[in-house]
This record gives sequence, structure tokens and C-alpha cells, in this order.
Amino acid sequence: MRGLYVCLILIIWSMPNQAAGDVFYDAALRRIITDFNVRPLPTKPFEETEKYKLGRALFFDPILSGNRDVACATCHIVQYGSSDGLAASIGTGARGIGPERKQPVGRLRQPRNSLDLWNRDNDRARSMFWDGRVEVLDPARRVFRSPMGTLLPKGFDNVMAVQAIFPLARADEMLGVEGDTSPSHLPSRHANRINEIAGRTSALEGPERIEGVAALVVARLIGTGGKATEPWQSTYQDLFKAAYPEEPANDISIVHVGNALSHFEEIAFASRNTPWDRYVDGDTNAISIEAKQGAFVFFGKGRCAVCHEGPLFSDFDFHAIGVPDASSPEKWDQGRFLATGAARDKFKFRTPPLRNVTLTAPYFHNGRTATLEDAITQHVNPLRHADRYQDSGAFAMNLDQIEAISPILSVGLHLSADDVAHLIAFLTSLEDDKALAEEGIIPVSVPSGLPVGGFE
Amino acid sequence: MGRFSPALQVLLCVVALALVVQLYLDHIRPQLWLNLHETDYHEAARRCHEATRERTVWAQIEQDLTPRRRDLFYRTSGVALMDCYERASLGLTLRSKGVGQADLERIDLMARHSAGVLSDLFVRAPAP
Repeated sequence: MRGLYVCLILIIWSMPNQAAGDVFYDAALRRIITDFNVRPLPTKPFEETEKYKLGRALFFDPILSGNRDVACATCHIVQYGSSDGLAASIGTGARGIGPERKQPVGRLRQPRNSLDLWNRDNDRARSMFWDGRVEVLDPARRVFRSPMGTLLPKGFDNVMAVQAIFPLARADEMLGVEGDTSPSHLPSRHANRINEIAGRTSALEGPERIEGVAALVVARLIGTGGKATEPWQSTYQDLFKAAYPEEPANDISIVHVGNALSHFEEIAFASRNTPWDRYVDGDTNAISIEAKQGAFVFFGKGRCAVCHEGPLFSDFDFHAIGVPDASSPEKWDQGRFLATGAARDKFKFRTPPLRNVTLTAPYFHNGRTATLEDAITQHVNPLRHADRYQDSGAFAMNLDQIEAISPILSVGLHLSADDVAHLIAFLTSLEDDKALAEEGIIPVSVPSGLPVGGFE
Repeated sequence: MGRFSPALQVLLCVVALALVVQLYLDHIRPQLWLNLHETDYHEAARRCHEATRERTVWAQIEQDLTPRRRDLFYRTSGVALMDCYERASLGLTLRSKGVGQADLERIDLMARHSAGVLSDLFVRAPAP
């Protein structure tokens, strides 16, 4: 019996340490955090300033749209992680929220997936939109490049503020077209009103039209010459005065609208409670062993960190990764090429930042994939659609698309099902615990009296 | 036992215990460790083979990368190669617990096979 005890003690003593995996990954990740210079994301504190309140009102108020039926918040929904859950956003003329929103017959279709708004005030976020058509060239001197060219007014705080004005002037997003009238179901003051913004600028094109639309949006918000002819205009005058006390009322312009929207977005959509940041800060229990393994794949064999780098997990550069469009070949989205006109930019799209990516399905510029697993698989095998056909019989991809695929992905990665599951666990650790919290973000009402966010 | 003198009984017990301990140290403990860690060792070895192979293949596209991306690529390669250190470390631990070199090499060969390294050498060989 004594011998048996001795054996048992020996066996127990010699049993391997089951926590060895955790120790290895913690040690490896400490090294990675140092080597890649990973730091917790700096964010501004949540504070409801006057500028924030103005930006919040503008963000949720459909009065900014030509037909008074869509707001910024229509396609950037808090409950969908500031995206909208649709493959491609649906702008003016539609009804419904998020995935329930249906494209109305005969209306223009906005072709791209709604981008999330998280942490875009970070200095690393130097380009906006999938094709980067709005960029900051010199953050210190606030030099921007945009479709407005030299007509872009001075005074924007940052690239996000510049970005904010462009959806206002797109017919398929917020502007609508000449001859439109606002929906009859809106409050009586707003129902069946002529879309004067689209109508009065219809003779203009390009930057001139954007400039004209911007001026008319401001006029609709606060009136002209300091005179408020609509009830909401005096409210907005007060909000602008509180937000910009030094600014004469007559000098309020689209720049102030953009800056207020940008300020609201940077405060409302900031990742402040992220397990990964807590882990980076030294809390080794902040993320699971699976997430640690996923981080190891992300910064290692998965090569994700080559492009998804920095505090926002994006290089804000442009890459083609073989995501085909379902439309006929002549309508394929050529991505960055549309912004630069350079042939080398065809089919390239901006690297999406990954914070809160778990909340913003579907993925890619056209919402082609519904799950993160499928999105990762696309990176592992960017040629998976190359030998497929569309329903029409056309090839799903042409030679230009195939040749455009980033050399970084052309090597072919080897990720097991476990690796993919671990990567998803890691991406989940980038999710802000309070990303979907509505308190202080969604207002009860907006100055125009229209449905908040355009939602009935 | 009554047939043996007390001294002989003690001697027999000591010999029996020594044999049991020897059996445990030479066979049972290594087998226990191998059973518990074979999958881990196989996985680390497979990842190490993949990392080594991919680093070689990546070197072929190096000229297509910007300096920033080349730098990041090398850093990711360094991380991927940590699996080789894990394999080495785990291998040493197993050896210290009596696991035979032949067992480790058998697992390593299987890992190399499951990493596709042998076939890849033909498929991915650069053009002459």
C-alpha cells in the first residue's frame, strides 16, 4: 500500500503543468506588444459639451437630407456598431431600420457598405470612405484632399469633419434628385415638401454642386441673413451660438456643421472599454486563452498585422483582396481608381479598421460576406472566386481583378479552423464592452421634429 | 513471505520498489508526458514548419512590398517563428521527462507532413 502511495505522489509530482499554454502566450504577446509598439488606444473622455449637443442633433436630424427622410444616423446605427447591418446602405426614399430597410423601386442605389465610425479622430485615420476620396495630406496644417478640390472651405478641424459633408450631396444617400418631394407620412410641417436642395442645385456639377448643396443645407438649418422662418431654425441658431460662441451668426457655414458632426462622432464612437486594451495595459486576465492564441496568429503567421496595423488595426492604405461584385462587369466597383484615376488603384479598397468589427457585419466594400469567418477565409484564399461564374454566366472576376490582388495575399496563408476561431476570439477582444450603449448618444428628439435618425 | 528471513524480506521489498520506480521513470512517466503533450508538440512542430516554409516563400515577394510593409512582414515572421521556440522548448521538456528522441522525431515528421512542407517544396520551388 505504501508503494502505491509513493507511485501516486510521483505521478502527481510529474504531471505536466496545464497552465503552460497561457504562460507561453502571455510571454509571446508581451514580446509582440513591445515589438509592434502596441499601446492602449488613447480616447477623449465622454463629455456632453455644447458642440457635442449640436453635433448629436445634426447627426440624428433628417432635416439635413434633401427629402427630410434620412439622417447620418440612418446608415450609422448605434445598435449595429455604427454601421447598418446591410450589404450596401440604402439612402433617401426608403423606410425601415437596418437590415429591414428596403430599396425602393426606381431609386438610385448606393453601392457600398456603410463604414463604421469608431475612433476616426485618431491621427492614424488619414483617409475616409472605401476609396479614400477624402484624405488628410498634412494634419498639422489641416490640408485635405477631397472631391471638392480647391472649393473645399478652410477651417475643418479634421478629415472626419471634411468627410461629413459629402453624403449630403450624393443623390443616392441624402440629397435625392430634382423633383423629389418629402414623404407624406412625415409631420405636417415637413410632409410633401419640394426637395429644394436637389432642385436648386441640379444645374451644377461636381464641386460646385457640393458647394451649392452645402450652402442650402445650412440655410435650411438656420435660415438666411440671421432670420429664422421655421421653428427649428431658431433652435439650431441657439445650438450653433452655444457651440461656437465666438462665431458671428452670419459666418456659420458647412464647416461648422462638419466640425460639430465630427466632434459628436469622435466622442460618441470611441472605444473606451476594450478587453484588448486592458490586456495591453497589463491585465493578463482581460482576454481568454483563445483570444491570446488569436493575437498570436494575427501578429504572426496570419500576417494580418502587415496591413491591419497600428492602434486602429488599419494602415488606411488601399489593397485589392479579390472580393468580386455581383453586378454586371461594366458596373464593377473599381474602388480607389475612382478617387485617383490611376490604373494601379483599380479594385483597391481601404483597409478597414478592426475595432468593433464583430458588430459591423456584413463585410467588405460591398457587404459580400456575412460572417467574420468568411471574411478571414477570403484573405486566406483571395482567388476563391476566380473560377466562378455569376448568375448571368459572366466570370465572377476578370484578369484585371485577379492581377490587382495584393502580393501580400498572393503567397497563400495556411490557417486551420482553430486558427480562424482564435482570430475571431481575438477580434472579439477588440470589441468595446459599451459599444451599443445608447445613453447620452441617441437623443429623445431633434430640433426639426422629424423622426430621430429618420426612423419612424 | 514467511519463508524468508526479515532481512531478505526487506531486501526483496527494496528491490521490488526500485524496479517499480525504474519502470515508472523509464516507461510510465515518459508515456504519460508523451500522451499529454503529443498534440501540443505536433501542433507546435506543424506551425514551425509552416512558418519556416512561408518565410521562404515570402522572401520571393519582398521586392513588391513597401519598406514599412517589409518591416512589418519581418516582424510577423519573427512571431510566427516563435512556434519553433515553443517546439524546441516543449521538446526539451519532454526529453527531460524521459521521452525518447525517436518519438519526438516521429511526431515531427508527421507534423512536417501535415504542414504540407514536403509537397510544397515541389509546388513552390522558384523557377530556375
